[in-house]
Amino acid sequence: VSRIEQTGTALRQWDLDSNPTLDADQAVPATAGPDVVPPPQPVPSAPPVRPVAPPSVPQASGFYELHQPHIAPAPQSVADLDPTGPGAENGAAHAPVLTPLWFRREELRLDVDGRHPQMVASGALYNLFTVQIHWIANVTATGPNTYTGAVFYTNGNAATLPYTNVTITVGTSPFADQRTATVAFGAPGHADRVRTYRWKRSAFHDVEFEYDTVAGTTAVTMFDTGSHPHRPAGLPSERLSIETVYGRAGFAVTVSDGNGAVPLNVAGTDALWTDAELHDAMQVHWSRFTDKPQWSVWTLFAGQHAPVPSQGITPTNLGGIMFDDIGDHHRQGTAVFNDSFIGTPPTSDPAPEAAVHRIKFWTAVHELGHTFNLAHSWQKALGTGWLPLPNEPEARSFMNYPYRVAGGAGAFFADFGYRFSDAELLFLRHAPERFVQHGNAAWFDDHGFEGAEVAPQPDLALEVRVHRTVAHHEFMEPVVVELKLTNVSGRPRVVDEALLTRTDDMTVIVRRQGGSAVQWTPYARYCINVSPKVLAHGESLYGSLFVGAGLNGWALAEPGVYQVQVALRHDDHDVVSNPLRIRVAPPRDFSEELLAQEVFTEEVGRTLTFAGSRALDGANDTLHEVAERLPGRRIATHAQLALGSPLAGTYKLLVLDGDHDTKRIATMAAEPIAARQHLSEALLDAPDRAADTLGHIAYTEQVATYGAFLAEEGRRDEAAETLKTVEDVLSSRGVLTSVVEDLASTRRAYTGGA
Amino acid sequence: VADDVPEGPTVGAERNQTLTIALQDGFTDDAVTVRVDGETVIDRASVRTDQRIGLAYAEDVPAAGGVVTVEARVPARDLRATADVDLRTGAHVGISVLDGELVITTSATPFGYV
Repeated sequence: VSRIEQTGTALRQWDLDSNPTLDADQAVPATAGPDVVPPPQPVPSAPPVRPVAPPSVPQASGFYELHQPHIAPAPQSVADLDPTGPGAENGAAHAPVLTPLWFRREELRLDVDGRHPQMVASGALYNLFTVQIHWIANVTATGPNTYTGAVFYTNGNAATLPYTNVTITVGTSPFADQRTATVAFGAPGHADRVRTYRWKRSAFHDVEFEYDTVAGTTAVTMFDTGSHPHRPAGLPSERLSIETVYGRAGFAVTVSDGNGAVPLNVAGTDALWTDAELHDAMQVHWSRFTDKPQWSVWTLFAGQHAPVPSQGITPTNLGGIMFDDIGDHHRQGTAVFNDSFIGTPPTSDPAPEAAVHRIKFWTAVHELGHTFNLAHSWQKALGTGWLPLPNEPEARSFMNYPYRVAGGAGAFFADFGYRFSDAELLFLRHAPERFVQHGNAAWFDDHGFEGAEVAPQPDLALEVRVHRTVAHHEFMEPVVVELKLTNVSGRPRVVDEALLTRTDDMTVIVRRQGGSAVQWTPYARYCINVSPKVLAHGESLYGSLFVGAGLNGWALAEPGVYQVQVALRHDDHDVVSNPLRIRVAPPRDFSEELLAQEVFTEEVGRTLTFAGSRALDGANDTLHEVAERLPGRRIATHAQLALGSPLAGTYKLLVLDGDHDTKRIATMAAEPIAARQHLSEALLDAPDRAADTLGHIAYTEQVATYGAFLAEEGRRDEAAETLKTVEDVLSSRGVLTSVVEDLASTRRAYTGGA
Repeated sequence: VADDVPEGPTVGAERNQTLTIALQDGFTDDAVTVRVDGETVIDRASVRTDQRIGLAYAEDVPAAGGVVTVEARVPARDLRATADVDLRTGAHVGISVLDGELVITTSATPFGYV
């Protein structure tokens, strides 16, 4: 297969005849300024300068947001999710629950007017710090301030938003804080899900640029679009800045105050820059550098890149590069090389100085485009794109090489509107944030809480841990982690005593090495009254979480290495824990694999989570089998506990008779002998093993409960003996003296002591 | 366009000009061979395009003046293209894999990459 093309042009030939076509942009008049715009050139046949129209105010486009109130327990109807919204008014109040997840924040980006509208609406649903689902819909205007269309893209858990179309009604107002957009999500067979979002700003994202220059080099961040004669006839003459270009693409751009000079010696003795030297310079000289995703990027204006013979790169043929593909967080830095080919005007150019200025400006915007994850125009179909995109080899975009279009660079600039293509604008404005944001990567890979709002000097420190020397778990062992929240502020702090019990303000992420992250979603949430507690400096609050199973299954079931990390919302900030590494061992034999298929079920997960059930017979059968076949294994401790606990007292069971129309509460008598056998085996046969796998908090609670059960059965001496055994075990494991003393006090009460 | 290019160096031609050959887009760990007037000038394994700049490899090779025949092959993908290049109008040759085809372009001025 062969094809031959002969363009006869190159990048420096960007000076052909103008083309009058250009979409109508608003513009800012050209005015004098301190940048390095070259003086106007006396040029022939320049197109007339178009009068600048006053900027119009977008009526509907922009970024809208909805914060959900804190409600517990989990919502039971769609309307419950948004009591301030109109859901209850349109019959949604009694709609079936469509999702068990607990949304805390929603975003809407409406793109229907203003500059280069894409007639698109997009949004994201967050649960604390994680995006549950991202959606995008094409919309058309169907009435005054009303837009309707189909959802064509979702990313995330599609079950959390099973809708296929949206109708958006914009509530206009001269007052920004009263502007709203109400979105009715619809789908066949589902009641509408209606949300009202508040307008936040006209830009879709915030971003910050920082420009540094190598000593002796000039940063070109602005260009006078009327300074070169070869331009579209309708192109407004204006002093166009990089910030304005990205502002028109949908960003609220700020320029950091860290702009400055980079000493040339950073590049080594040859004054040429390698990618590694550029990366080093970024870490040292970028005032915002941090190795994590953020809406911030660094641009260095330098002289020349170092040659790379293996790749054919020379100091003159590389005009700029997004050099940051080093480390875990890419796309944070870019460089423009003023002394490369972009510093030489094309032969016989009528305005050589303007031509050089133009290509330097174009290069800077182009390289920044790469940091937003934009590919070259002719590469759109390569690799795995976020959408199936066609190549745009003729696009008049900052991301296309001018010399690659038909007619060469002259034809390009004669028809170039100093903008990105529509496909690129769709990506920049509406793609999932992690695809676009600088330094971001695959879904939650290596950075679970990049979106957390961590206080600069946190008052609280959160530790997630297990009580064993090495965090190795046996196959099928349910994973229990403990939380320790410590006041590190240096002064007393008031916290809610139930902060670590009520999981509403908590996000737990479990990520298997080499796999994607999942959020642990508990089977139940507890509505607990706030009980203020003063934590002295250095004092801690403790909690226990059974993260082995939840609504989204058994997250740590497969053998492998996992990372568990927890974030807690407190006083408008996020407290993020250490990442806890947990290794799950492989099964010892094939029979364990077979048994695991019975264990890793929702019924067993619920039974273990709620310390037993007298209704879930299938789960109990499995736990009996586990206890009998694997008596020395840690899962047997959990099994015995779940089997014994519901037998220790009378048990109330909701019974549905006949066709389920008749409901009654049945009371089941305690079975103390069986209970004592199961609980004794769980807690006392191998107390260290039990403390290992249950954790100190849960183990202590279970022992105290078991002691009370024995005492109630009239076995006070046995209860005291049990507590004494456990006191010794906990003491030897370094548990807080106060905890051991509480048990001792109870023990003495059982024996009639003080 | 020649359907086939004979093997072996050009006999008797004085190669006093420079031809820049750039392997540009679409290479993904490919073995690539380029011949000019039948002489192999580039024979590289593991050619991979740097997507940031659209360049995989470039090399200046000596060439006789006038018109030369450039042939590019990616054997593993059964791709082959040839082009006659007039050095008086284009001393810079770009070779890319685009839409499953080998494409040869020429330019009178050096390619630049950003």
